[in-house]
Amino acid sequence: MTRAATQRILALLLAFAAAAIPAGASAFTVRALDRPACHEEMTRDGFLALVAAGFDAEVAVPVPASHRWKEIAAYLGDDLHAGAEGEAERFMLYSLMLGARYPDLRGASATDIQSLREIHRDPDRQDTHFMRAVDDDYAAGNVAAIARGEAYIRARVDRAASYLAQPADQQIVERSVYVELYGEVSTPVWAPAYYFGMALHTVEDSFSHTVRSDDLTRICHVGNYMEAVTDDYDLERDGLRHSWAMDRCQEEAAELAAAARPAFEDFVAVFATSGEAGWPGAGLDEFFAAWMTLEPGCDDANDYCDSKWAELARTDPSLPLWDSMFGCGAAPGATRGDVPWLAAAVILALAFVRILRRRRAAGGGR
Amino acid sequence: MSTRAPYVLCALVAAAAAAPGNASAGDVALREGRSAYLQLEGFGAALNDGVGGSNITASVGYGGRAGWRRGMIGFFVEFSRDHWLSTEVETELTQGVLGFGAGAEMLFAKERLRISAAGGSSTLLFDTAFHDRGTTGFYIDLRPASLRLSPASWLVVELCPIGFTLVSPAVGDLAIRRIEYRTTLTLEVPL
Repeated sequence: MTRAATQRILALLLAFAAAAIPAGASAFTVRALDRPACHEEMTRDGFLALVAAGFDAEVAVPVPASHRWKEIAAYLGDDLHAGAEGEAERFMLYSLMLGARYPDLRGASATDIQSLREIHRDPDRQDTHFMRAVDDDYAAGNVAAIARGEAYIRARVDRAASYLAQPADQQIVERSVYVELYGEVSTPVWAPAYYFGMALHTVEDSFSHTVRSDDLTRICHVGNYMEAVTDDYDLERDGLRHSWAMDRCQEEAAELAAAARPAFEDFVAVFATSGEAGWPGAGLDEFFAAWMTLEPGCDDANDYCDSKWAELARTDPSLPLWDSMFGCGAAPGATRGDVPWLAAAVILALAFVRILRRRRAAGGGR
Repeated sequence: MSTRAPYVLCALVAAAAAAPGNASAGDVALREGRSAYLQLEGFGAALNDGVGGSNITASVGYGGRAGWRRGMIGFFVEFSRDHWLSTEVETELTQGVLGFGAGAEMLFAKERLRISAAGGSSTLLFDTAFHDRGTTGFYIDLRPASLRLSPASWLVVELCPIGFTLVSPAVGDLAIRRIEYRTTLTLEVPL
């Protein structure tokens, strides 16, 4: 097969993917379909800053006898583990990274459109992405969403702490990760880092799903995905629509991602702190005080307190699927993908396959 | 593959479809006695979804077949190259697998319909997360209804709108089981 033919086939298939996949994905991207490894690289950089500050993984981290985690780490990309030295450091970074990927994938394929849609439209889990829940309306919705996001982060850190209190051999647990061609595969992870990684994911999302002050330390507004992708959306009530542009950490949001880096490093540094009450001590409270306070009185009318990030947050918003496919949205940059009709064909085909499966399943159960 | 290839292919199919319906003027005549043939084919498959898997897993490939028929029953040996599109971590068309196998077929409706089943070895041609290239397992290929037309006495064009292929080049604890719903276009030359 010639290179030109290969490129033509790839172009067609990627056109399908480009049109269809964004319907279910949100937040700083995770590595898939040639999308940048935003969450993974932010996590890696935070971890390397922790090590540079003196954290000794060799002392703290037990390493499993099984080598499967090394194979999966290589599969995800050696570049994501660049800079980590020794097995303990690499295993901790691997565990952190799988935790940071989990809220966006939950063990499913990164190109499983149905699963992604269900994950990101889960009304009970908008806090994992630092977004408003359905009932988080008007200005009070900002307060509620921040409180819920903080509660989720604290809960994940508490889970990490509970594992850290156990003997070293019980700190290694098996978790599922999707590996191409193999499906869900069980892998050992260091539980304290894995759950801390989940919390880190939400911290990272708190920068891509909010409008912050120019210096990023205060939150002016929390975005919305639940209503944003339905026809029952009202800007004043529900808040600003989720922005795809804010997720693209190497394109439009590159400046935002770079400016947020100290916050990610501060949060990962919490891992090395402890107080009289045990780990993580006052470090976590100090982090929230420094990076998660609400700036009241900001809304669309005052351009979110004249935030320099407001324009970016309005760019390429999430829209109802039909609008995003056929360009019916009124917002600028609303259309997604270059081949909407092809995407429609794909989705209809998927729906047909799903109906057939359900019928077969129903028939088999009788 | 030149830019004219799709048009040539369409012209061949159109010619086959427009061919007169009687045996003496180009129909696929039921051949008495024994006959051998060679086939070349190209195939593509999209939506090769396993439950919980990717929705855009796709593959393209080609293959060859040498067969022998007696009346409506035939047997053949075949090879195939099946390139897999990888999307989960990065997007690339991988080397996929190489298949060698054998099968049986049956022709119906004045040889306008063909049903076949084949199986054989399937060998990985690239490194995966848990297996190295060269790892060998098996494949099974079922084609429930291939449509056959003969635009010329020396050529049969065969279209299998959808077939079922299970490709499993790695078996065991961590197995690769890939289901492909292939659409295949085949050119057959009687010998």
